[in-house]
Amino acid sequence: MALQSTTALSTITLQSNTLEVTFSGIPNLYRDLILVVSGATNASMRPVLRINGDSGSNYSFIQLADGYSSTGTGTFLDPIQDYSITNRFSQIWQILDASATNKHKHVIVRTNQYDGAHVHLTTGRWASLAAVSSLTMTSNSGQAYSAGTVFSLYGRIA
Amino acid sequence: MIKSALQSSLSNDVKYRSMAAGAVPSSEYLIKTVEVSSSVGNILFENLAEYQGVYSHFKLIGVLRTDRSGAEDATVARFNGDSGANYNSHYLYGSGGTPSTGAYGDTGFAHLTITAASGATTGLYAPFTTDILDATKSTNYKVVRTLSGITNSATFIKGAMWKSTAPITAINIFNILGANMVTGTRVSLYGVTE
Repeated sequence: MALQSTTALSTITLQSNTLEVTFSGIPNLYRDLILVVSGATNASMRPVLRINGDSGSNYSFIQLADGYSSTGTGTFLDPIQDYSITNRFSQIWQILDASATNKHKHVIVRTNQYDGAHVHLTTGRWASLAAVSSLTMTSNSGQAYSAGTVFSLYGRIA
Repeated sequence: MIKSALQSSLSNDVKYRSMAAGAVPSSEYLIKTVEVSSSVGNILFENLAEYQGVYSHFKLIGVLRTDRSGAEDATVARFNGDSGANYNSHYLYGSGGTPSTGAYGDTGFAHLTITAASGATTGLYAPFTTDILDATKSTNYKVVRTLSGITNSATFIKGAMWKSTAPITAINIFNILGANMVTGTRVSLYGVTE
């Protein structure tokens, strides 16, 4: 019998403006992880992701947006590096082979940015062989996610 | 303002007695995963006729790397062994600056994704996710959409069409110039209900 592929692991709904959100203790049971974010920011900022708390310069990404593309490297995955969100947005992060220890971790990120009506597709890489044990959504500029923003983490088998 | 919201152990808004019991009903089901442990020329999913009437669509997800010289390669797919000029493909990609577009008409395979090759940084693979719509139906041409990229090259959106109304019974994934897929390459096939 075929197995349902995706399991909901955890959901965090912000009760007040919050600078960062971390899912830790992620079990090594799922091949891929999916992080869905839907909400808003309280000031101009870009949502970014760190894996396993790594703040080293171990991240790289290429953004494809409406009529524009850019490349980047840095201390976090920054899927909309040339735009800032000032209102509502949604993002779907796919972290592939999150539990693998023989390859770097690769992501595909889709972002809908309602102010300015931008859409983004970004592929990225965390240059580490470590299995993913935590994911932290933060911002590039110390600004917060608004109350009511929802972060949902799923695990997908393969 | 709260500085940090931390879930020190995973828990959902709904409590489950075990992780195994925590599944939320999903319309996506794992059919098979192929993980390359020694180089192979292609990845074949076959005997898919049994899924007619079970799933409407297929989804392919994985990471790819080949032994082709250079930093990148290109991966394609054939359906039901059809090597005739029955596929059209289009692409949009960004590598910094203005995005570029292109098209391939009447080819013998569907273009899927850019792929990392032997000259790419060690540990780097190309992530991709492909949706094959109406894959098991006998009334429509088959439409394929892939999101993919490699961070030393470009991010791609590729679309393709197989000009056949036959239900897909086999998917053969290979590299456009015949290179082998190397250890660590992984492709998972999922069925998606309507």
